[in-house]
Amino acid sequence: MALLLLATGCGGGDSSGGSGGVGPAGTGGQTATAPNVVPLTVDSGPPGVDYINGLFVTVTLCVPGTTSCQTFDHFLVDTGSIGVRVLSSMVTLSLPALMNASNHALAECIPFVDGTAWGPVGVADVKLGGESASSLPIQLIGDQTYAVPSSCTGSPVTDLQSLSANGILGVGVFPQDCGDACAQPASSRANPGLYYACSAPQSCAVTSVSVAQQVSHPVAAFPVDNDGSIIRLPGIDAGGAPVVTGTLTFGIGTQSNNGLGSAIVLPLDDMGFVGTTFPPGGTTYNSYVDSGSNGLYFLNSGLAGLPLCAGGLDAFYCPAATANLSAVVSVNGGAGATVPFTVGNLATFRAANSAFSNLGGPMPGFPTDSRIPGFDWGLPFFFGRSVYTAIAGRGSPVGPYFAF
Amino acid sequence: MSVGRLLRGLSVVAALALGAQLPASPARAALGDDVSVVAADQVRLQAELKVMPGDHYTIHELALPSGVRLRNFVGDGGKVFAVSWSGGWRPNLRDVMGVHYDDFIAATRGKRITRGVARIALPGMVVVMGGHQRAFFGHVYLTALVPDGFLSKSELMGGSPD
Repeated sequence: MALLLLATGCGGGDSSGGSGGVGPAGTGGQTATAPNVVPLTVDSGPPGVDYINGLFVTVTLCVPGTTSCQTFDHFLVDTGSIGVRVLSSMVTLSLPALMNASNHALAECIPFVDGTAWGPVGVADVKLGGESASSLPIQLIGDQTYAVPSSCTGSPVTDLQSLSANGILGVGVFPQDCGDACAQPASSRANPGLYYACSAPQSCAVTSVSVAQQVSHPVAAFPVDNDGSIIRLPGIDAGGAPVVTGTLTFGIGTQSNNGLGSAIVLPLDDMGFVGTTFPPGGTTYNSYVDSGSNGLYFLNSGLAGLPLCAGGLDAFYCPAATANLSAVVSVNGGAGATVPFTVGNLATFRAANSAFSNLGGPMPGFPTDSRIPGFDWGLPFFFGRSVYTAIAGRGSPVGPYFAF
Repeated sequence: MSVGRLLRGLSVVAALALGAQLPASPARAALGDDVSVVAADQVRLQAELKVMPGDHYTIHELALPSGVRLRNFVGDGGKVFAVSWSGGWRPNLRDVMGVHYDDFIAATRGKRITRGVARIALPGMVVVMGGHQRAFFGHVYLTALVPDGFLSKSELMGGSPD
């Protein structure tokens, strides 16, 4: 287990304190001084976690309408999910439970990539810097008040060991984590069954939940600057960095510090995908941008032209020398943006570092299902860029889109 | 770079033996089941069924009302050797994996979850999962039942869009 290099202001005071920072503060030269800006850190995560390419922020939760608040460091900033989720074991506040019209407590079974988080829905005021979302439905992960129903499948995510963060700040492109589908009748096969109503500790059943009661995007619930957010991280050396600091800015085109400028806007389809053509002029694949993915996951060894790592690390590429590649990210195969990227040899990465811009691996899948995406532009994509994530139905141009 | 550091972050490798017997549950088409139960699933899930021939296998695709697409890969012997899924939601993994679900949970419980793509190799079974909220995909296959040559051709990616 490597030593930790702590740079965040753990637990001390309010989230607007602004840690000092290492290196240039993002391509926009931003510092976390405006009310709509909070600091971001890429480090090894909470004590004992040893995270690689984890993007973290400090979040304050309050009992709605009160000054009874608790501040949490190391929430993972995730453009691949929606909503605020906190490990219930970390929470000392008494947050009210969200009840449905039948006075049953609502709980959620939410899938992550290979795990599933079960827990009740609570209500909190969520404060990020100078912005606040009042009475927001959030999820309390690992709370054992209600037993996990048998229909909630997947490997359970319940604690710091399994989550590797104190919580998740999901700032993706949708206003809620589920949307209209979960508002369908519980008996409808169109309802994906994420939400449950619990009448007793052993009695939770799939239920219909209005979008207003679903776990929702905190930024969308801000009174202002509520159309999206911007992640700004500096570029880093090929050898990686122990700590990287950047900023998370709320709103797009709402203040003097969050304009789109010359960024290229890439509208998304209803599954949050854009096209990626690799190599340029070659085949176009579905792709997505996800700050919660810690690597660039794309294609396979043959199509990428990169060997897999040996020694049990075959989830990654290990080219003999750093591979300089490029792809074109576009909408419907039209004009797009050329994205140069590099994939380094994992075997040469320095273990003392927690941030790597050239961590890459394969995306295995069946070729017969073309809906499976070919590229996951994870956190390495964000280094040296300002990446805009616009919420569906908000802003001008109207979301959902990514821009960079 | 230590192996353990990355594996905890990005994949889970388990050492757990799978039982050789593959008893089929009567009304769920799951991994290792006979193809005959796919039709029962079609009714139970109110799904549309499409059958597509391949090279030494057949794909029985179920399009669910939730938009999820489940593909059962059936070998010449009539057994489901792989299941893939894609769509806005992840399917019930107990239904997909059948008798192998408990082994999967035992191998992954308490491990760090991954963000991005997860490849979980158990003796006799491989699970791949990925995606983001409102778009999930993955597949699982039994190594002993996979037709010769299938993996070398099919662990290619994506292909061209529809």
